[in-house]
Amino acid sequence: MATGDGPAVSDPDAALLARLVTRDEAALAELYDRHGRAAHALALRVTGNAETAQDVVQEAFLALWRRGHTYQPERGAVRGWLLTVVRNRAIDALRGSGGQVARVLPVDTLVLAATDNPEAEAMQAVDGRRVRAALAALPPEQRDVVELAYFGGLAYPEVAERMGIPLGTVKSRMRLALERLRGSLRAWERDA
Amino acid sequence: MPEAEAGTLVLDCDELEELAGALALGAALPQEVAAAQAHLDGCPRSHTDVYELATVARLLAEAPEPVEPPARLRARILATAREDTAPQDAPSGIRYPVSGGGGPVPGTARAPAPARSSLPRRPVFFLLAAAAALAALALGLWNLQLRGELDQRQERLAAQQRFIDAFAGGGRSVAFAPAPGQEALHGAVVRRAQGPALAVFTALPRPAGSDVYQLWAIRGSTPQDLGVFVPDARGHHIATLPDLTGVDAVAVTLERERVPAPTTAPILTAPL
Ligand SMILES: [Zn+2]
Repeated sequence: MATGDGPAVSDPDAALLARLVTRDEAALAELYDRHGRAAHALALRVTGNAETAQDVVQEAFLALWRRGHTYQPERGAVRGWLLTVVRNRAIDALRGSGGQVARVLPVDTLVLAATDNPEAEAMQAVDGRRVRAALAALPPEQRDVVELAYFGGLAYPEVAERMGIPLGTVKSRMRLALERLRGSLRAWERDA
Repeated sequence: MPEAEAGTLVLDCDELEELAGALALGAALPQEVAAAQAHLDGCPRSHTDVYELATVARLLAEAPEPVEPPARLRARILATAREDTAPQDAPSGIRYPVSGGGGPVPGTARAPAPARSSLPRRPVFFLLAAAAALAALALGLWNLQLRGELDQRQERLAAQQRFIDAFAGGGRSVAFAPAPGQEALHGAVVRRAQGPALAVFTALPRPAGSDVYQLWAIRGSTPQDLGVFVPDARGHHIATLPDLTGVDAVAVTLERERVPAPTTAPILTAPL
């Protein structure tokens, strides 16, 4: 049974990821060239240490290298997966192994993802400058909880303790902050 | 928050919504993540916000000011990958080269991907509005994986086909026809636009004991040995194939060991 021409893989990452199955180093190099800067910036932002950040980036790309064959195209973007691994490992490095914080995603159970779906591609195409601007525009008390949690790896009870505010306040600030970020990004979109 | 059985946290709809920001930021406690997952799996409400906020939170990964990594990091990663001979997760196809010679497949290192800046920039709003489609991506794949109401079998078959299609890259694929009683097996011969053809399997059970699968190129009634393999834990295996000119079919048999001619009937046959 011939299936004819398969659907084209519109996401270059998906094609690169597929090539990792055959241990194609050139594909890994291309993935690094596409996402290495962002991965490094995130790792450096979280760990604040150049050596640790490089180790984290290396671990993340090796995870990609080892798990490329498990990818399932419907499951999301490579960049999102990679940056999630970077964030989680950077926080592990920051906190040591005794951390109690839940990860953004349970990476160890993730099916490595590639995609040709436009939503995930859109996520990949989001401009970092816009996210920075939206973050900077938050009220300071909202920005603080976001930064302590996302980049600092603190669970919300730890944020509450650090800031000396009630648990409920932290939770509502986190929610409000993300709602406001969502609003900023949407407004930019409408104006664009 | 109410406790059901000993140690099992249960969240109601309001508690889940209240926790949405912390969940999205990875700042909830592990037992709360588990309770949120259980809630979303069972709740008739869509809880769109939970997913949307998680999507927004993931964008924070793009926020740090770009900092160029040192050039030696790239070299170090590539060198480490090269020497990474026995990764626990590696597909066995790597360790069981079928047509002789392991390592990267010649011809696959071309086709440079377009630079990232050439990607179409799609509206963020579009992204944010697509909450339902993004649900699993945003909050965690565990949610999708655990949703019993999804037709898992259909999903699996579609995923297997996409796995194969991803290799085709504009080429053609020919599915392996399973022998009677072997309908669960799944694979294809993929003839790519560039590089050698591949045999891609996505659902092969591990053979018993030390048994192996053996690949054959059939010309007329003469089988040519293409080597043996054992699929990885997920049933995946990718084998590079030699030039298929004049080959009538590629077949797979189950054998005790590598044999010069098949001792059993093919369980999979791809007529070319
Ligand atoms: Zn609910």
